[in-house]
Amino acid sequence: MTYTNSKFQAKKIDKNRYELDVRGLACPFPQLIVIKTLNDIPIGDTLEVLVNNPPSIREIPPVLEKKGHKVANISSLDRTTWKMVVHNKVELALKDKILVAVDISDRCLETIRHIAERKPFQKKHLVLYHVLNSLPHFYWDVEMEPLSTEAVTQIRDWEAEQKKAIDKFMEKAKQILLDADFPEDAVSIKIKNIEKRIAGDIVEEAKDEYMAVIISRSGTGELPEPFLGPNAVKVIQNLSFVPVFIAGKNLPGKNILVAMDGSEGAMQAIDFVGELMGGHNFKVTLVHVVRDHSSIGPAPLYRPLPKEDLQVEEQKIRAVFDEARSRLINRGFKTDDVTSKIVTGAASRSAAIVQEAERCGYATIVLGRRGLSQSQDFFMGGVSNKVIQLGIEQAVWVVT
Amino acid sequence: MITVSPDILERFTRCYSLGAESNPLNVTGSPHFLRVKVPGGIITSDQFRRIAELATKYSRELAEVTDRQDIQLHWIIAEDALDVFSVMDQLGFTTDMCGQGFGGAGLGDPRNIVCCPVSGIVKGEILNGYPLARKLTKFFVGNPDFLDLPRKFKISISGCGTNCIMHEINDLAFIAVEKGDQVGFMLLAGGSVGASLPGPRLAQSMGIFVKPGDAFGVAVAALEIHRDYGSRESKAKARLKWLIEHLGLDKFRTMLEEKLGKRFERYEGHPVLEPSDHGGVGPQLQEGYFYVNIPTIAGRLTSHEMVYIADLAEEHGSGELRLTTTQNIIIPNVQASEALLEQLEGLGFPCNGSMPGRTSIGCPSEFCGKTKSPHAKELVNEIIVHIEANFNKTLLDEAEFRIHISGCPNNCCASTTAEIGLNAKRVKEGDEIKQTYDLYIGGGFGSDPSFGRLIEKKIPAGESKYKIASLLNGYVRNKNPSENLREFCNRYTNDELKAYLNKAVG
Repeated sequence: MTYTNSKFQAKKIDKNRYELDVRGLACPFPQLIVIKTLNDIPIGDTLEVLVNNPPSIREIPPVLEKKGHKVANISSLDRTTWKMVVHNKVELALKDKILVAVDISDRCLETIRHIAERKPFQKKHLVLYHVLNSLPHFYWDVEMEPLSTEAVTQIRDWEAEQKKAIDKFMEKAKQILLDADFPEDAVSIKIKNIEKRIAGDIVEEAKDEYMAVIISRSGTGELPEPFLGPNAVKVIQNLSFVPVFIAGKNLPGKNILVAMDGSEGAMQAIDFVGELMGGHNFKVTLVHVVRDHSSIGPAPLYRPLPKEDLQVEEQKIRAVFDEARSRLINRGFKTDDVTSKIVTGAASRSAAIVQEAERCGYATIVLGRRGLSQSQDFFMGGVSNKVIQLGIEQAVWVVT
Repeated sequence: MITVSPDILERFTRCYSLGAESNPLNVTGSPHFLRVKVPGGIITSDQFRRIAELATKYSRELAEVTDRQDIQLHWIIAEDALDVFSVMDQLGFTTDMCGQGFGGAGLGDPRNIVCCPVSGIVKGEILNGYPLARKLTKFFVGNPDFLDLPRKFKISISGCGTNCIMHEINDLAFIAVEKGDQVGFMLLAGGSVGASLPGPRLAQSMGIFVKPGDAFGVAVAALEIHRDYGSRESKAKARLKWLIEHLGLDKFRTMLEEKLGKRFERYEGHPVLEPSDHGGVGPQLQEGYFYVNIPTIAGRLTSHEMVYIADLAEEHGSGELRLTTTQNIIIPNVQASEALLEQLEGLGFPCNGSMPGRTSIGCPSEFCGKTKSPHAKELVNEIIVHIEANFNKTLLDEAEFRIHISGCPNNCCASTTAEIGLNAKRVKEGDEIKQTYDLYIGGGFGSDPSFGRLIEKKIPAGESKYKIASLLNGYVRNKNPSENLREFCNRYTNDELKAYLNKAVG
């Protein structure tokens, strides 16, 4: 809590329950302090507010409801004092979960460290999720065979070892987050025995109202960098319903590059970045890549686009930039922290985006899952797909 | 983004607050209002411009000069409050605390201290009251000892010898007087025209002469008595008038004397205070300089007008502005007024209007959600336009009357103290709620301050202007020479006046 010297601070009175005494304060301070406190206590927790300013009783509840909190009860303690019970963003508590796919690898630990660097994630609920590879199905029958007892015992031992190792690893991962000031209640561990396949189970879990899924680049696959692990690829392919963050090699800094085109997907990406990162002093650069040729036909036949066409495209994208900028500013980005750039003369949009990120030191690239790219893959926009493959240094967010 | 750090809280909580949210069913209702206290009404053009900026940014480009020389902003959103407060902090202004919002008695604070708007510059001034207003404001603002009075406390100070700031409606009024070769203040106490108990009261003379050096101590002692002995039984009984009603003025005076450790000289009677609003163009004490009173319609200004007026004050005056309790603005220290008057006329503020046009006031009832259209300020405008179109300026000036319109029984525009007062009442007719007004006639200050009489109840808002015009018609035809409207009305009974209102008398 940032106002620890003030007498108006929440006291923890029970597990997941806080009390805030704003008696004696007149408008707007009860409201400001209640909202500030709700921002500070973990999502899903309950705040009891003691207040003796009658207008507050009337006007705070609608404001809180609008912000996604739930005012569960208002009771009158005596003629001039009321107690207001507020659940901190119950709705959001369900939605504001982020699934972190974890396996035992240094790369994954690195991903956790990157997450720890992200202050806005502290307001979310992180579920560290591991799919435990247990005894394959065909062993179930073998288990019954007296002759295979030894092999089964070995496998059971291996399973137990695995379980122990993952427990330890998960605790370590959680500790990294707690050390980075993530609230204890904001991180939970979920270990699940494999049901289908690892990728399939991650996708199944992600369907449970998560706002995003974070996966590591090399994942559980055995392919060396810079490729995405096979599980990661499958997860990305199948998670068309939720934004996916693919962790990069570089530490996430304060600079975010959002690849823009005129598509709805790009604007969705803007809204997502705004909601998640707004108000935390991040800098966003909106980048639009203009190819200076028409791409109809094979590469040798590419023709330069007429100058007028380029101007028209520039004009269009500036309007998109303006809209995106105002959306970000409305969600707490500072005016000076939102810049835009048009990159011209590129042969490939994806390559230009990644080059731009490398050249200007953006550790995060954000793009819409489906853009206006002409060649669309079966699972996502061609540009997005290529950026994921090319941008191994950066974290890439594919927003749905 | 809201950031509440301890230092901001400590700095702001005792000095700033926002008024309560109004009736949400009223579409014009304001989420919060903010009353910027302007001590004594004196403000620099720069400060005025900054408040105009606040109005532009947070208050839908609208601001109001109130009858306590404040500037009121509406539609403030709580989350913006700290930004607004920061600007006010830089400007050196504070707000009224929001004690009214609390149940029961308590958390009252001293309201903006009103002062004659031409203090220090008006010709023939007995005493400049402004330094006292400043000193008291500085002492009370944020002072934790005076933030939990049983209820609000209103102080007025004037040194010009006229009743320009409606002293009798204040809890404590300092009126400069001459006693032999001394100058000092006579003291009125216990005024309050609202519905609280024991009912509307005009402040009464304490019969004492306060030397200028003692005035500060007297004010502080009076507030301490109010704080320590005022009733906290209920809000209705918590104004100073209730205490004085029960103690009696003599006892109150004795308590004051005990606190100060001295006896006051006597000052018998009520001073004969000429009614004045310092309207039009007036010569200043400083040779060759004039003050120009800009009449606004019930104090309502757009931020553009505010900026323009600030510019004019710099161009023609000394960059100073003074807000009046008649919801107008004075530009002092003007050398050549003609050009200024011309520019003001161009802006839509002709300074050659009638006295009622200049001095009539209305409360911001639409923001409180207390009235349906026409709201108090709209009605002021409607009536003034009507009577100025039907009667000549000389007659209206001779009639010497003001129209005060309040939107509810709290009577914040003191309608019962005006020569013509209207107090809003909503009436249900079938399924429809209609806006009506009760009409009071014959109130006034001067040598014989009194409340007006309730002559007709529940007049449909639209008819009020015709009734007032009808009364004025009767006045024109039947007045004695040099008789003003109040004197004229006080010769008649309630029924006779009602007949005048309804054209029954020719």
